[in-house]
Amino acid sequence: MASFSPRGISWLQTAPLVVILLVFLIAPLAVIVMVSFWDYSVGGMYPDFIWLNYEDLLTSPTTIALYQRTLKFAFLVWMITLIIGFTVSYFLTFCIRSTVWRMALFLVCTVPFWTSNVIRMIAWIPFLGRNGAINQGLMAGGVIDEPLDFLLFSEFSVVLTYVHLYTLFMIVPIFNAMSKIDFDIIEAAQDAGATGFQVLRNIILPLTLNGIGLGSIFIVTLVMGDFFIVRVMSGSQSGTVASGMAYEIGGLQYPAAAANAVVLVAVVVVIVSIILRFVDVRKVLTE
Amino acid sequence: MSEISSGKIEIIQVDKFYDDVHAVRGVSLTIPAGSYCCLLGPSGCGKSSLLRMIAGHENASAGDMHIDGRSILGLPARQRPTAMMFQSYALFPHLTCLDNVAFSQKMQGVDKVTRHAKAKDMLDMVQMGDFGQRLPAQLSGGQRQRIALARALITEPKVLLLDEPLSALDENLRVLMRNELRQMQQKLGITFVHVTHTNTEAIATSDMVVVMGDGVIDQAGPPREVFNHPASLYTARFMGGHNIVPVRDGRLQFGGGQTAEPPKGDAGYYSLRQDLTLIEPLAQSSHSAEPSIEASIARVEYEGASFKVTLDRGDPAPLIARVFDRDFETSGLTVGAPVRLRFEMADLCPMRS
Amino acid sequence: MKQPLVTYILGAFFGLYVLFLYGPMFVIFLLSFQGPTGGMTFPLQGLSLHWFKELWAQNVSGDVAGSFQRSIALGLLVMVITVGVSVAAGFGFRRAFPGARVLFYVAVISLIMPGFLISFGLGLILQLLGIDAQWFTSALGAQLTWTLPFGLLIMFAVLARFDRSVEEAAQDLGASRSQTLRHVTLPLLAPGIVGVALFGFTLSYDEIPRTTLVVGNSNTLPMEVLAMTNTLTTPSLYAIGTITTLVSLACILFALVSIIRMQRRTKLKKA
Repeated sequence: MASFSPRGISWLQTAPLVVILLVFLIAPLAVIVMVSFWDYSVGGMYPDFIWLNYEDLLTSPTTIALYQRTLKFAFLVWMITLIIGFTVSYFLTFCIRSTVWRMALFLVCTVPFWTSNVIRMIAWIPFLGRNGAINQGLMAGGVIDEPLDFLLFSEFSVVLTYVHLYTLFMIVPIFNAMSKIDFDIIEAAQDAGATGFQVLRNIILPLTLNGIGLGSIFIVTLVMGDFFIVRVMSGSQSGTVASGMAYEIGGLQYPAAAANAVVLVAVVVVIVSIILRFVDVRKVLTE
Repeated sequence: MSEISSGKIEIIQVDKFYDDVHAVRGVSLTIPAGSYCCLLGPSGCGKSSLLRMIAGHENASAGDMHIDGRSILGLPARQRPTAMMFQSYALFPHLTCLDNVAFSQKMQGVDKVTRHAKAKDMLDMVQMGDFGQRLPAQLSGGQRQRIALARALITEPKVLLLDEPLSALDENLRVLMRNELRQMQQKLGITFVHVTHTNTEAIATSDMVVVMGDGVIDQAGPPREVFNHPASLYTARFMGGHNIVPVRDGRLQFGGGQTAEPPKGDAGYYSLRQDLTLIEPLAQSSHSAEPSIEASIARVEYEGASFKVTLDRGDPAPLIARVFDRDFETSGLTVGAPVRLRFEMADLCPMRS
Repeated sequence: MKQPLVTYILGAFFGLYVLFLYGPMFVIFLLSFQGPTGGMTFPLQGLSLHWFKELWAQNVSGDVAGSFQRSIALGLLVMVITVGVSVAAGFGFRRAFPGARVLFYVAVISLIMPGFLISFGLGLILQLLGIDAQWFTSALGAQLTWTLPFGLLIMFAVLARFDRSVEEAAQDLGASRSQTLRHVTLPLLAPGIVGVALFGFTLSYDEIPRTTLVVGNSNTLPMEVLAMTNTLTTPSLYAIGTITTLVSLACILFALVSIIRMQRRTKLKKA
């Protein structure tokens, strides 16, 4: 049997992962960058090195509007999921004494992660529509006379769906960070005279910061990368950067879409690196 | 007791580096066949590294190792005539106790009936015969240790390596188990190498104590010798129970300017067992005692069978006398009382610094 | 130490969140059993299996049965590859090796990179090379960029808790490397490996962003459903939702039960 050095064995064991990531992650991203400098016309795209796609993109008022809306969605969803995620994690970690119950309830929060996003998205339609459950309920209760129109196919329903689908990505890392907090530390803080709020502010919050950071990265990248929820749930009336890209791809304007993608990644990278200034995500992921 | 003795270990100039850390520095040691050897030292002194190198779980960076005259260097763990009992016991949590003990036989391809019969015998030997079908999770710490012992001994090793085997047990069980380990070793007649950081454990179990510090062997010898005649300040402090008397300007220094003529030799320090350091009330003592050292009692701590009496001699390092409790009570001594020290010059042991 | 009032308020909040999480799912579950004359919203016009039969009879536009089969097949394929590659890579990462840090960061990038971009880039490559997209080639690869980082992170978590001294004990007792792997390491890692498999299958089974531009002419189920949201305006849409959710739930249940059973056997209680 041929013998390998320990590092050789590690290389061999990670080689399949390396190959898959090279072919299906690195190469596609590299090609996007390359094509973003190509020229195109109705007939197709042509190898070139021009900045025109970027110029068109960055000087277009549509771009600004799309980015404004995308960032607004990202910020709203981030804030709502953070509040829900932190509260739910706090409840599970510090209010539920039994480990079995805590894990069971945590599982209740995570099960939808393994079910279909599309189905969970369309599940809101019979709820929110003009003849949907909410309008029917409110009218039957005499709260409103006319059905509410803003519930479905609006920015409201888009944000609602994002929150519904993505809060989990905030709960899991925060819960994970909170469950590593030693209860003795909290009791020590209370012995030192800290009130409940002071414990939250000075002990729990700093110790969950890495989890919050990881969750925030997930939320930002998920919202900014979404192209179909915004289309379906706004009734094609609203758009984000990624859904704009999807239209360009549908119109075969690949180089324009590629430039769009490069700028989008750049913006995401900037936001993620701002988050990384505050937290050590590597620590969360490997421990 | 032991009919056939095998398992002589020779360690020759062994070094171990972890990256830049020199964990074991040129250690040479011969452990006689069929002896119970304790490697004693604080954590990080290199004792566990040495044990793991004998087992084959670490490779020596330099030097050689022999068991019964045959070099084991480069042999994988499974081909060495050693078996190891891990600090965590490292029982296979998914296998029953019987299958844990039978594991090595299964690896050799022994059929199920034969290996289970042999494993059952081993379980009986460690008084765990009724626990064969239990999983490790269903056992107490002491029971797990017995299973780990049976699992190691079924391989009929020449050398059993025990890595802090008693550290996970509570105090009473620890005393019980260390006796059982000693009896087991005498019954089997193989070599036991036992790593510990507890001096009482080492003294109670072993034929040979090896005191280690900072990657080197400080002193090796029978427990009575190591305890009574610590060869260095390090060993004296680690074994405990010793007063340390320095020599300055050719005189033993007892503090407060009181000195005495040292025994022959040019040692820098002498040790004196605390229980051989006697005290008597100054008023009742005769002046003729030689050397005549006076002090006053600074502190008294009750330790059960004895009192630990700390003497103030106007010097930073205090002397301690351990006095049998009834003797102390009848002496009428209290804190602040002036006393005279009594000891035999022959009990002073020279040490290197 | 606990103020009960706070606990009750937080408990109520948690209850509302769970309602928010499951309420809509429950509604489409109910509506999928809508009577034959009922529509896509309440009220229920009786209960029936009518809309499931419609699906069965292929009375809806779109290839539901075919895409369902493809999704199951693709999910299993992704699952097997994800388990093999993540377990091997997890072992590789147990030692320090040159490039480990870079590879780790690339895997993290793969996790957080908007999936749609991967699909787009891969689609461009296929177009430039003149290769046809297929669900079992390009979509498979694209989905792996999503499942493998999860698999790897699970392996990290599992291996971090793994007591390596049991492997040393096995070798001490005469086991060869492969015997140690077979009799000790893999059985002990089995619950974690089932977890990796669960992620591999379910994430693939529901995947859209990475699949969308590289699935080729034959859709996977979630792609088909996404296309149907505009065209299918009967409760049959909900019937699909009920079926696919039940499949997911069955996988989760199966995985959880096996993990719990395995862990109950092996978990060492504190002595």
